[in-house]
Amino acid sequence: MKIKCPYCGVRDQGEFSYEGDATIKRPQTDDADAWREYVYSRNNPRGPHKELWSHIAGCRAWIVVERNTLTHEVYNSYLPGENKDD
Amino acid sequence: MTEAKRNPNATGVNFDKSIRFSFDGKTYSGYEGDTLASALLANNVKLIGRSFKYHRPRGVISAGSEEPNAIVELGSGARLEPNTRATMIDLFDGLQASSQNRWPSLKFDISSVNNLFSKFLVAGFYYKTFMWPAKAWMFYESIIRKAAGLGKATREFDPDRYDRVNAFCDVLVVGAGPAGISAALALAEQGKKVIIADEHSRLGGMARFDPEQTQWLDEQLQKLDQLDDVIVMPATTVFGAYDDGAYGAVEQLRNSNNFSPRLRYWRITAAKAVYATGALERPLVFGNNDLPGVMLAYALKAYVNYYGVIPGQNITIFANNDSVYSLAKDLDQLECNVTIVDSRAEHELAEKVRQLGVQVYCNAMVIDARGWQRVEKVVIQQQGLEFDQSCDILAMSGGWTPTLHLQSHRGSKPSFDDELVTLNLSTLKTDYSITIGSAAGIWLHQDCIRSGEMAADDESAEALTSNSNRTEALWYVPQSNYKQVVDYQNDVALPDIQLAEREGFRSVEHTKRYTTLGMATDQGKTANVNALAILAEARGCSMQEVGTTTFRPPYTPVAIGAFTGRSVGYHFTPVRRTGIHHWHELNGGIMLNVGQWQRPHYYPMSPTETLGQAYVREMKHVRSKVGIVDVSTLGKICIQGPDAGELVNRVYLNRFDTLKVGKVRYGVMLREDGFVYDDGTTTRIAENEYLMTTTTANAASVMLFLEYLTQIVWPELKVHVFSVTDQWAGIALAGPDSRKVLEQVVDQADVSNEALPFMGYLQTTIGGVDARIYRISFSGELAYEVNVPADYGESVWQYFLDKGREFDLKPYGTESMGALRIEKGHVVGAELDGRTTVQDIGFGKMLENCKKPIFIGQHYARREAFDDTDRPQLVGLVATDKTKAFKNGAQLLAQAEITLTPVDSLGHVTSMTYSPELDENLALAFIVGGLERWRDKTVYAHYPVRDQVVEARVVSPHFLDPQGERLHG
Amino acid sequence: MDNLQPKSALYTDYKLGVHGAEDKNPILLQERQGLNMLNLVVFDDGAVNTVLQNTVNLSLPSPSQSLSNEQSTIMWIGPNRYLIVSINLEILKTIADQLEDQYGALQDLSCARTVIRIQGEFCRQIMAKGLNLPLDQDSFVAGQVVLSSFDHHYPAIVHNLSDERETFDIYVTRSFALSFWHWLCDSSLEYGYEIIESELNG
Repeated sequence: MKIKCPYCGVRDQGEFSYEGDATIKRPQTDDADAWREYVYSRNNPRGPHKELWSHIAGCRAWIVVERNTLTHEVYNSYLPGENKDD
Repeated sequence: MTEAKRNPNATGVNFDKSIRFSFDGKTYSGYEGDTLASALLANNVKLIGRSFKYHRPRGVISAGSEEPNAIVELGSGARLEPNTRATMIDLFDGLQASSQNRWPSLKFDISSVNNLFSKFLVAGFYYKTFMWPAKAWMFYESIIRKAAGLGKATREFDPDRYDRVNAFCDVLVVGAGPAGISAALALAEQGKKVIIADEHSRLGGMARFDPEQTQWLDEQLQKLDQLDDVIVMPATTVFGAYDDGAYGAVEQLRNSNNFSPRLRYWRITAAKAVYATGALERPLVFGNNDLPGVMLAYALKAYVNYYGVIPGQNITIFANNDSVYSLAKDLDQLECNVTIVDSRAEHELAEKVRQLGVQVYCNAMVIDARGWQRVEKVVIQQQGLEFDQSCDILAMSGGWTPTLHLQSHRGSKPSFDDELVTLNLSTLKTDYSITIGSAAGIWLHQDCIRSGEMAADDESAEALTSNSNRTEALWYVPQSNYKQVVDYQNDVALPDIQLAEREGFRSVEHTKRYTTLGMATDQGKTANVNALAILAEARGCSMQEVGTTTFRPPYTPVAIGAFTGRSVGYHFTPVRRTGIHHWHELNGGIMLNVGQWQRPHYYPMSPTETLGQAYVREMKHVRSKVGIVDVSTLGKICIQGPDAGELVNRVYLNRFDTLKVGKVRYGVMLREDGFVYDDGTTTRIAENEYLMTTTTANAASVMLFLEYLTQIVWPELKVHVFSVTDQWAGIALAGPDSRKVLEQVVDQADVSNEALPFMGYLQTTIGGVDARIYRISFSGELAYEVNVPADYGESVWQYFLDKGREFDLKPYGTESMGALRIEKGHVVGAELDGRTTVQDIGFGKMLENCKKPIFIGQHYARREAFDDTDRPQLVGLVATDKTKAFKNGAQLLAQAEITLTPVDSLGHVTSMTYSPELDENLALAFIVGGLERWRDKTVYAHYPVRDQVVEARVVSPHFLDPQGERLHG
Repeated sequence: MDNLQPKSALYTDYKLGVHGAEDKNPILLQERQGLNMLNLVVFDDGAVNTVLQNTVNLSLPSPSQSLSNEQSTIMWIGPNRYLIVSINLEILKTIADQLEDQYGALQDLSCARTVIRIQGEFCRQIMAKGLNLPLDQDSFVAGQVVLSSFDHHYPAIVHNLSDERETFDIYVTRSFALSFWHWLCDSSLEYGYEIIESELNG
């Protein structure tokens, strides 16, 4: 599987470390439900998924990758903050 | 032995260069350009192996990598290569090969007795016999195991080199036959970067075997060679197609310098692939179709025209399609007696060839081949009449099957095409590939070339797929009287498939596994389609309904060495070394692998001193005098920026906003679920610069965590984090005399207790070298940690030892370093195993005092469950019998014996050591209720796996100097 | 006061001379020692650019690029992060004196990496054994910086120095350097390599 690092270009998946769901946000309040979601609850979609990968063997940038968990097709990769919808 | 005739007009052999080789101990000669197979045929050696199960005599049937029979052991000793196809071995001087799977010899193989029992040794017989008694299975298994297998691997270490390389191109062309070559040329003209690979050492595909195409082929290959942007890779098998344009290929190298690898594994990334993988001829399934001398028709053509071997005089050709007729013409011109047996009705081509003097029987079939260890005659049936025909070579052709493995690897499953009477892809073009030439069902030479040109324009040549090689299905000969082989290599015959169907193994995947058809090293290349048809008939359904099994990489076997590359022996894994490493090696340090690092474990004083003696001696020395240990491997992270302090404060549980420049503080880091993650010391180096240390084990993960926080969670903070582990060599100096040593090594600085108090920090020079000195202690003694730039590590270490000689400064290793901290009750990863909280390790006050609005773990650290006094808490244990040592992981119980009545464990031992200062055996442990419940009480540490129990008294984990007086001295 | 000497991570295995195959032009391997290497983190591009131009006559390069003058090279090595490599040993002080904390920060990392220069016809082929990315003349050009890991193990920065003379500087994390050196020499055997005298700077 290949991932495009926005800085370094297309690289082998082995250069990256998978770092989980990109859609979770650290709560700003003390709301127990929000914290439970953040720390423990994860969706496990069969299909398109937004996730974080770190380019640890390269520039160490954290990247948001849109990948299909079933087919491994990588649709898109961008720096955090670049997508207004996130 | 009389040699076979040679064809002086052969295009692939150089009759001026003779080569000597040996097979089964006998010496023969061949020529440059021969394969082992062609050379053996030329020497009239038809018997080359014995079949897997029944040990039937076997010979060469093909001229390519699909060869199922002529499997030999190549070479000897450490370079022995079993299961090599004689058809793919280019002859070289001194080649040695031997046949496999026979004893005592190829001619007189005892196991051929299996053949007599073949009616009982049918598919699946393993599952039905050897069932009773159950206990005897292990005995049966050892016998079956000996009988199984073809060649034997060597047990010696492989002396050859293997290498891995990465390559990139715009288009990867797989196969250098006419279609592939024309695609490569057309693509090069468009300025594309092309790699064209072919599994054979000489290019041309089937065009090699056709004298009419020799000149065209030479011209094309010359053009290819001259193109800079085309990389031509002969003897390179593209064995697998993977995601995202990745392809695996293995290249065989022969004549190179001493440092060339024997095999090179290429990882090729190509935006697009052109599959010019050709097609394979199918055998026909008639009686004794596996006798030596029976071969595929194209192979005979190859041996006659290319390798220049005429292996027989009376040649019978049995076929159900047109492709054999040109072979007949070639043979006739070489003055052989040729007979064609065509299963189809009379047709024009048959009549034309008769006019050349070739005998043609239509509406006829070969029922059986007969002979002792080679074909001597065939039994032909034509419209009810049977007659014999003398025959020394029987060439068969059951039609052609496009080679579609690579396409299947990527999910394009082929299906049976009734019109072409073979497998075909439903679509020749995908997003990333085009299939051309005979792999696309395109048979005519000019059409193949055209399909290659079209591929360069990204056009698929579906329109050129045609029925030009008219074929009529003949999946097996019903009237045969002898064994009809379907899968040659795994010895699977016609009745086996029919039996599988009768016994309920009807799905093609089940049939495959029950009969083992298609599971040998050839992946059933010459068997699969025939088997599918036989299965379909047995099931009474269509070929489409039967489907196909899944093709998986590799296309042909790849030696594991190729994947391993140079990661062997010393190169198996990288070694991380500190700046002081070489000193340890030169001065008797016994090195230990800690992850990727090498660290000195201990320094034996004499060749006989054991680890157990050394670490005790080293401990005593540190506690009574002074020692130094290399601590360079600990993670060191630099945190810089206006918001550096804010980040540090949010990451630790305890307060860091009050940390002043020049001060060090111990910090505990939690996970967001509230459990302890890591600990370390962080120093405020400057106003906006902090140096954080972590445990060696967690260095990488903490680094990643901090990057997550700064890039994802709090990107608004103006702070940057990066590792400086490699910049600094770390030397810990510990013991009552450590200050005295330090005073000797610093150039000018004041390192008194006032100038450098406990948890203080200063920057200075040592022997002219910039140095950072932190007054921190892992051992609990008066101690300092000194960082110098890594290049100076070794010389500064030696400088310490020189200047410290008057105080008897000695080095100590990680074993004693770990033991010292246990005496003090300092926790490390063994205690911080991810299940412990700050309350568990006695730092509950840190949490109580924490008033920060934001810190990692803020929400869950305060959960009620953590206040439960029943949680296992950190305590110390002292063995009642001081000669008994604890074991890490031992379970704690209130009773001395374990009975059959289950009891809950009260906790477990995490770390243990002998203490020379207290002359006791100690341990750190967690126990339900902790010190409050168990102080001075007796518990038992059980280690049932080794049948050990140690009686112990529970005490505070801070065994030595609990007030920390030595630290503040 | 004694002045202690630095030692390269490679010093135990740095044997001058030609090794390996002799039928091709050997590639040259050379350690570059004594360079000042500074880590620069940037919070404000514009402000940092001004400081760099005033002090060392360079500006910040774009991702995967470098900029050089006679004394120094500055390379992009990560988001908001750069490596300044210089033969001028005063460079840290020169820049730090003008660089305010709110705009950026410097750190001396002169020992964190070992620098190996490779030069010759087969450099790209040898690197291709350990790096899985396009390294041909069109894809990896002079001035470009590649951040990757050789053979999945050795974190390195590769700087392409020259289009004419096939020269590359490899900055490999110091603790891995000796292991990497062994890998590099082994990979170069089939082409032949020559270890030449280290270049000592400063």
